[in-house]
Amino acid sequence: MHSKLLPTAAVVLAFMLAPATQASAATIRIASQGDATSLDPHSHNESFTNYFLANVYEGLVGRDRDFKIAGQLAESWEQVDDKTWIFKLRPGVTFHDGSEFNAEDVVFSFDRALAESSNFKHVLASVDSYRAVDDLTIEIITTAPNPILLNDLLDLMILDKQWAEANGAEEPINLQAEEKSFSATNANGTGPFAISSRAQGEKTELVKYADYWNESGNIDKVVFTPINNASTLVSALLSGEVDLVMPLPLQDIARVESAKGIKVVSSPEARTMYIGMDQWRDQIIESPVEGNPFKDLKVRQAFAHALDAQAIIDRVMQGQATLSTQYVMDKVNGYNPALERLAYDPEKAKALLAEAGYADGMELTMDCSTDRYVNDGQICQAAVSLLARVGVKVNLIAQPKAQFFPKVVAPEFGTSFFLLSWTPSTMDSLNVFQNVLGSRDLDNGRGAWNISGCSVPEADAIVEEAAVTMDADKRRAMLEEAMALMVDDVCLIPLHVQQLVWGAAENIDVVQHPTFEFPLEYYNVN
Amino acid sequence: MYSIITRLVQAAIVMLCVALVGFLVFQYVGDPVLAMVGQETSVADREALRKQLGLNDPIVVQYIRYVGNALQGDFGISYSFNRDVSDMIAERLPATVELVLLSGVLSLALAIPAGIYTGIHRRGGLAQTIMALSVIGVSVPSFLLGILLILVFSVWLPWLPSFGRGDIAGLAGFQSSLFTVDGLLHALMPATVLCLFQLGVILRLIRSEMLEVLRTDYIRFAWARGLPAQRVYLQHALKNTLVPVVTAVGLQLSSLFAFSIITEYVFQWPGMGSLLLHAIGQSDIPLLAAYLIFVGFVFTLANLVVDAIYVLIDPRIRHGAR
Repeated sequence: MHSKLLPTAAVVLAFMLAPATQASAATIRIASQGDATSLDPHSHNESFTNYFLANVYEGLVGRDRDFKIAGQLAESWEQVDDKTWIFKLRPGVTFHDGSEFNAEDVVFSFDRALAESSNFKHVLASVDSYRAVDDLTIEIITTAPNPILLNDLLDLMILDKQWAEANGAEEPINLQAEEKSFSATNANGTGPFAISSRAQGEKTELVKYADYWNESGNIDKVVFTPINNASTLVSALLSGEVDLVMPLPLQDIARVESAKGIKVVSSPEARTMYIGMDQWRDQIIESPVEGNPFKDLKVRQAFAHALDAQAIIDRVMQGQATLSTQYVMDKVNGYNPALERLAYDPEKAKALLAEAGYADGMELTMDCSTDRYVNDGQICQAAVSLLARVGVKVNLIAQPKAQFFPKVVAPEFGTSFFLLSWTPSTMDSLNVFQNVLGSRDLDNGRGAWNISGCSVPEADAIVEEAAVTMDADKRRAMLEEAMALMVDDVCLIPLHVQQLVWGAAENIDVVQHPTFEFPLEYYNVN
Repeated sequence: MYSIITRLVQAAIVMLCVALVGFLVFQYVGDPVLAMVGQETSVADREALRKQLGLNDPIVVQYIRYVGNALQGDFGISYSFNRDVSDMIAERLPATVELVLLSGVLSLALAIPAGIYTGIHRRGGLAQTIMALSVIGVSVPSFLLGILLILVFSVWLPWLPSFGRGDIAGLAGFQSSLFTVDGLLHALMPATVLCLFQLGVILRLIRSEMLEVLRTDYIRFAWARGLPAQRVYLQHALKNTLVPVVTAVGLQLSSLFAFSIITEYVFQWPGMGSLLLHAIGQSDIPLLAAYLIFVGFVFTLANLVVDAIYVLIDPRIRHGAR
């Protein structure tokens, strides 16, 4: 039967297959758990898709090898006054199809990013107007001084106007229209790699763009394959069928480290994990407790003292995380180095709960996703048992992200105790204040992810001023002050900063950026 | 002719029902809008998109609108890929079909002889071994078996590729990876894993039917007439086991489409199963609906074919009352 067939067939086939598992010198084979959902740089704002496409498309500015903001399609820029920016474009740049890049393409791409079906309208939220001054000059005027305009522009990719118009791709796809989605399956950027073939969900091949304006590493060809199943992903690395896998599941780290010819590459990711507590309802939901205990600062502090984040890092995260003291990681502008986290101290937690009138403990329901962050379900389970030690009984609702997010997001905010996480895409803490920490003001786009409903008006005022302060040092000091206020108020309980953990062949030089970018032009195969 | 028309009408009703059940379930697969937009998209923009997609309408309205479009051949645009659902299904279908065909052929080619053999020599050592192994095929979950095979034949013994579909070549107007060595190598492990359950079930069915038939009077008379063993087993016995076997095979082979979801996931086979898993994760309703309707179609088609085959193999049905 089957058991007889396999070995026989496999022996025969072994001879035919042997050469296929060796990489040629300048090809890198990458496998990841997901695929880019679209090749259109304005349709999906999803980090993997964005950073995959950042190898093909470029913005006016981008990140250099050391993660600093550097000119890409803009060669230089200057501020005429607080609100007016002049960008000088790089001359002689061409798109992959050979056509020339100029200011017209920039204006077109800005228009396109503001179209109805675009998911990148927010990057131009501070911009009042933009225009082409001449062929290689762009003027941008903001509505108010915007010190982080460059950060905002990082995610705005530039397309070729003629190419888009010729192919009916003037807008990111309109779901209602009957048009063919050309730009979802084809790409024409100025980046270091061009897409040579693509079968969605199966395989995408990129080749080095010979006329790229900048230096790029020695990789000529990239074969990218999504592998959804974590154990197949690891097997493909162990068997030498791929050179780089991302992410590597934490439980396989030891297995990969002990294998010959492959290594584990890790570095902190700009994602901070928090536990949140409902501070806005008068009556918390899904709990027999009367009223809202979280309105009392002592209760929030008690919870912070009860949650042993180091134990969660050691056991659940296998050491692949760093303890956090606040709501952003240290590479984010506005990180306050003076802050300390409330120490793990169950006795103190019990005392604080008693002072607040909960000497006999309490019962709560916690909402948690199971497939969104690294080991999110296990983090919550650990939190539940840590809280049980101080007399807080937590009923855990661990659910797929498809159920979790619709329940907890605006405008319902349907949870009173939850796990959440945030990556500020701009690497500036203003993004966290606007979305997660600022008092809710949905009409003005503030606090849409403030599920806790915490509110520190003093911090809001400081942040509002910092948002329009052009002096970088002064601005950073203000953001740090606001961060301290939020931490003192225990708006959320920070847990840890998770690590990016990848597995790679020994001969590959990998550059990891904290926002999950994988700029292949800096990669090398030795 | 009349019966075929009745069957087609029935098939259409089945597919409508499948789609309706699908739409009722879609209420609980999560919010597609949240899966589509980025974290910075405002609440107002999310609401506008929800309205634009018609997700605020009552479920019955959404269903009727969907069926109306589907009847005109428009299955909508995938929320998560921004592409025509029909294009995506057409792109993924060949991979699943070739996997299902290969494992269907494998399971029949192995199950029929093994079933006959174990039916005849039911006390023999080999027959007992085959029966024991078939229990494994029926009872071991396919994802476990898949991971195990990958570990053995890709990681320990680097003989077979652990994931994906191989090179594709054209033959007689068809494009398939089964026409290349590389493609066959890639398909071998997934097809084996996928066929094992069907193999076990069909083998056991043929064996028990054989045992049944071999006890009947006309077989004894056949022996008494001194007919050669080959003729008794294959012509007289096997032929009379076929009606229930064909029914089972028809259903089992169409359920390969459903089973292929897990196999495709484990081996990253770029077929419809892995597309479905993505669609579930992203709450991609147009894609989910199209998949359900398609699988409903395959099942009804398989039943139709099975009924036609009955007529061919069973003279009682052929000449019976209409």
